[in-house]
Amino acid sequence: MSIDDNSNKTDTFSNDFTMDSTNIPLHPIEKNILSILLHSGGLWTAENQLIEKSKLSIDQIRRGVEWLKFKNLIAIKDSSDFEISLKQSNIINNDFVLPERKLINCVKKGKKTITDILKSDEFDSNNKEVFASLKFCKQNSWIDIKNNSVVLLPNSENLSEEEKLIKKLLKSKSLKHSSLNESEIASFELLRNRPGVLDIKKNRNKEYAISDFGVSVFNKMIHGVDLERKLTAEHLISGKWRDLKFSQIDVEAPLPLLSYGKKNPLVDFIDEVKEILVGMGFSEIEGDLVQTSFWNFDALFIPQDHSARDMQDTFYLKPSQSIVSPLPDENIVKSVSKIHQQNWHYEWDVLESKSYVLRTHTTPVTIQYLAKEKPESDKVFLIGRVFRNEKASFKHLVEFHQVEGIFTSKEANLRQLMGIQTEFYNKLGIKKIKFWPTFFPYTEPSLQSMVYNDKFDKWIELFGMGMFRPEVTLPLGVKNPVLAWGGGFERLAMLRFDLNDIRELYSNNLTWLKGVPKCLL
Amino acid sequence: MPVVNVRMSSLSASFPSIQLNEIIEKLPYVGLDIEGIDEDSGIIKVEFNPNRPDYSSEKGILRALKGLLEREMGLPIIKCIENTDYVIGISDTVTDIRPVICGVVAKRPDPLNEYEISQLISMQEDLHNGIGRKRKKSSIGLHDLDPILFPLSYTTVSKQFSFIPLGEHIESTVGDILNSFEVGKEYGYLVNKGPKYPMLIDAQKNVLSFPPIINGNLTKISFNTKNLMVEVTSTSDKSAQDIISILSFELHDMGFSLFSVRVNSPFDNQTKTTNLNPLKLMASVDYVNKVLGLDLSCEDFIKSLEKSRCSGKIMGDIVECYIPRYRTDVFHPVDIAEEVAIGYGIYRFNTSSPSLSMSANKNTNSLIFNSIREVLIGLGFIEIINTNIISRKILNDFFIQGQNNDLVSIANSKNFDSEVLRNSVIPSMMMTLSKNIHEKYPQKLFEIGKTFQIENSRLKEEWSLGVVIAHNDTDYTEIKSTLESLIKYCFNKSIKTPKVNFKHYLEGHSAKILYEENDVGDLGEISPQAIENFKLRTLVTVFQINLDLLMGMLNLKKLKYL
Repeated sequence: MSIDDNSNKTDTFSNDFTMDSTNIPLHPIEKNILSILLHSGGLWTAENQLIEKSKLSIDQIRRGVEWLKFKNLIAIKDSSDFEISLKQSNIINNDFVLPERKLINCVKKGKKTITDILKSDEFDSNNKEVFASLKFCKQNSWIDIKNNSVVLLPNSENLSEEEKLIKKLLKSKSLKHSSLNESEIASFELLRNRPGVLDIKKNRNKEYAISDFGVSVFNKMIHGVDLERKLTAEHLISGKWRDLKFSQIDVEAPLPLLSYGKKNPLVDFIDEVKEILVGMGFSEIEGDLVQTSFWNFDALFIPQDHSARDMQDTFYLKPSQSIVSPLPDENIVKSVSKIHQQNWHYEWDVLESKSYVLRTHTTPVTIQYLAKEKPESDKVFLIGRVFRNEKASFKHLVEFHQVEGIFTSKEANLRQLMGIQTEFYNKLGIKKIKFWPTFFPYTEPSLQSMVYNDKFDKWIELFGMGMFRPEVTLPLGVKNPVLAWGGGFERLAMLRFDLNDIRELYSNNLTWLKGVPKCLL
Repeated sequence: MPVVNVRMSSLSASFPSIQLNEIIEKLPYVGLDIEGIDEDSGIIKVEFNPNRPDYSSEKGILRALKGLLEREMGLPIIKCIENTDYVIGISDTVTDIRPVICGVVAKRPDPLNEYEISQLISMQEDLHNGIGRKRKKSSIGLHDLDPILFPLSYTTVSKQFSFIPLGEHIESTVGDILNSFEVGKEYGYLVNKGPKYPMLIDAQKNVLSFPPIINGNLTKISFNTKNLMVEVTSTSDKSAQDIISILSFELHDMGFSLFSVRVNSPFDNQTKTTNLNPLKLMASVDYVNKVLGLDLSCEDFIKSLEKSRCSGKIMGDIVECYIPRYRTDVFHPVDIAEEVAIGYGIYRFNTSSPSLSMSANKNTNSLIFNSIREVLIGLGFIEIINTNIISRKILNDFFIQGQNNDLVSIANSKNFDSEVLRNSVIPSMMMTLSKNIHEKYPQKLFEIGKTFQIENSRLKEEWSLGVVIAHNDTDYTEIKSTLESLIKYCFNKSIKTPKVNFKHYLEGHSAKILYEENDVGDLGEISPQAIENFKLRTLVTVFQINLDLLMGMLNLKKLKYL
């Protein structure tokens, strides 16, 4: 139905339940402004946009909005902002160096004592600047002062928060205050009090939107009828809808996205991989994150003086008199200890095997399953958390996930292990695979796999694999050969989510969490 | 893993008929990782695994590569000339300190060059750290032979004994070396049980070495050195012999003639002499074929062994395998299988698919957790994951007063924020809120993770669910109704929530979660102090449930379908 078809029918009704919109006279300037606001798709319109679209002068606009506001036809929002930029005069060679950085550079050139720094070309005996710089350097933990000379700390290689903001300003020339995040605001507050750094310009700005009443007045004026903005339940139940006309809305205007609940992307991806493995006939098992050294190392034929067991790489729990750590069946302990002494030629220490560690791999869970079930043939897997006592970096996490699977049967052999691995990779969409010999203390033969990644156009090392050594399986009473493979799961996750920094997976940044699409295209 | 430099020029010189890139491509197939290739200096950096200490030099790597590329196959030839002059006597006082010593003498007309010295020193370093277990098990002394007067004596001295240590001009006492030399401070603990210290001295009472700390200056190796004496002291006979063998093969490949060193040991009255004979191991062709999934004939088997620089003699179904003495990692027939696989060429293996079909399933926890996830996602929650290891500060900030006696702490963390295993998922979830203060509210998050505590002398590790809601209007009503919805929609059960007071909840606005009279968790409005500690500017309500406990009571150890 078009608006013109039955334009006269609405007249009588609309006055009953809306404010009287018939007697409001509008000036052409007001009409012009209202018309622009009505077609802005429900969004706020800034003063400069209004000027541009209306072709009116700034004075005319300001007068017009005053009148409209008085008549309750529009809403006004103050959206003034500060425009921040660096003092042009202090930008030298496209760089802006704070005095504290100047001081660091000066020390790097070998001027270590305060007197030398003071006399340097950079500071030119400016007492005040040197002492201020020292203060800032100390605040940033960049330096230590010992015997009147300056010692650089490792932190001096890092940018201070203030420098980060300056770098951003250098890049984008100017920033709006409203676009700064919390730490940038803090840096801004610090820098604005320092002379010669920032230029701050206030941009006064107001934004306008048409009110519901304004819509109805405007429609009445244009079409000679009251138009309803929205269909309401009341219109429906009372039957009034039969006599109403509805205004046209902007159906193309962009709208904000809804918030939604979702699974964590890493958990979701882990689940997808679990489905693949279940589809290949592997059943899922689970086990504790805290393990005795016995299961994490000894049972895996890793000698007690092996470097992998160093405090350097493994998290040990603080030994406490009050925690009892259980070892398995005495026979298993005995035969493990015997095998160690025979092959590695050292005194095996039962106390050492009782110490608790955060598992460094998922294999202790797998072999405890084998020790318990002693299967003739079986296929199981797990994906779980493991721990390494390393400094966290873009490449390494202290805690991450490992995926591991085993296959045992009377006929199990190395070629089958390569076959299982190839099938798994194929299901993940990996087509080019290479196998290289490698070493793990608890498998023999051992291989590592390299896969070709099209996106990065290079070979990437993925999972390791091998057949459990007889020294591992025999003490547990497992007779048939066991094929095992596994490795870090986050490596796959970084490929899947296109990440360069592994820490992002655990940053719980809500924008990232919401932004990762459910389906990879 | 340790790194060795391999020069492209040596590769080309060793394999004149093979393209360089083809040789480089084969490096991983003898078990080496290429870490980087520097075209400008013509150096390939390769990493080797701890089971192959013989790869600690370029010559060792070439030895293996020559086998795989069929330039030199079978056992590498080595000869050690018997000699009765080079004798070391062991005094029984070393028994409790470092009882083993062995050695070899190497002579050549030309003096050592700079490259050879650097190779020997870097090998020494790698061997010390690897099979030497940072000198704890074994340590190596390299000496100029010429100033030494045999027989040597491996004995002990007191702390006051003094000599000129390597690189010094004046004498120091053993005590000084242990207290003020870097090596003394680092390795002193290995011998510093007092009052006697091991010392290797010659017939004129000159010091060769103070093992495992430092050599004497007298026998220092230089560009004039033509004749070498190598000694290894150790706590294990095997480890010492292994190291001497690896170094002997290296020196042999450098063109030295080797002479045996006799060691007279007091305890067993035995005389031992340098032994470079190959190791012997029996393996059946059938067994190896079964392990590898191959069908090698005896001839192929032997050829593969030879390409791995081993050799074999067929004796019916069994092969008597010989392994060069420098291999420390071959002691079981399965190790022979790996040698055969590498010699055969891993790149020649065709994969095969095993035909074992099994009916498979995810475990119950995974399935139930996914049901819980589904309900919470439907209620608008986003799942997060945090680490199990956290700092005490986060826990203290949250629990306000340390109630953390049962915490499980880590003994040796490198990161200041990794100190304890969390006993609740909520504090790290508060951290997540704190990191997301710029994001849109309301924020509704959940996490399923492990929590840890000590209970009745046992370490308890349990699955836990945490749910947090943050926005300006959240209150007890909202969080309780979320909790009840979850329990109802997921399990069709209901819970009771009697009042409880914890420091981290607003007083009078928190409760225990009881399922059939059992305490399975708690819920409430977070106290303003805790909110402030996490620098949040909005209200927070939470609940947490011990999932192991709840699922146990719901009899959910196994998932039912009907």
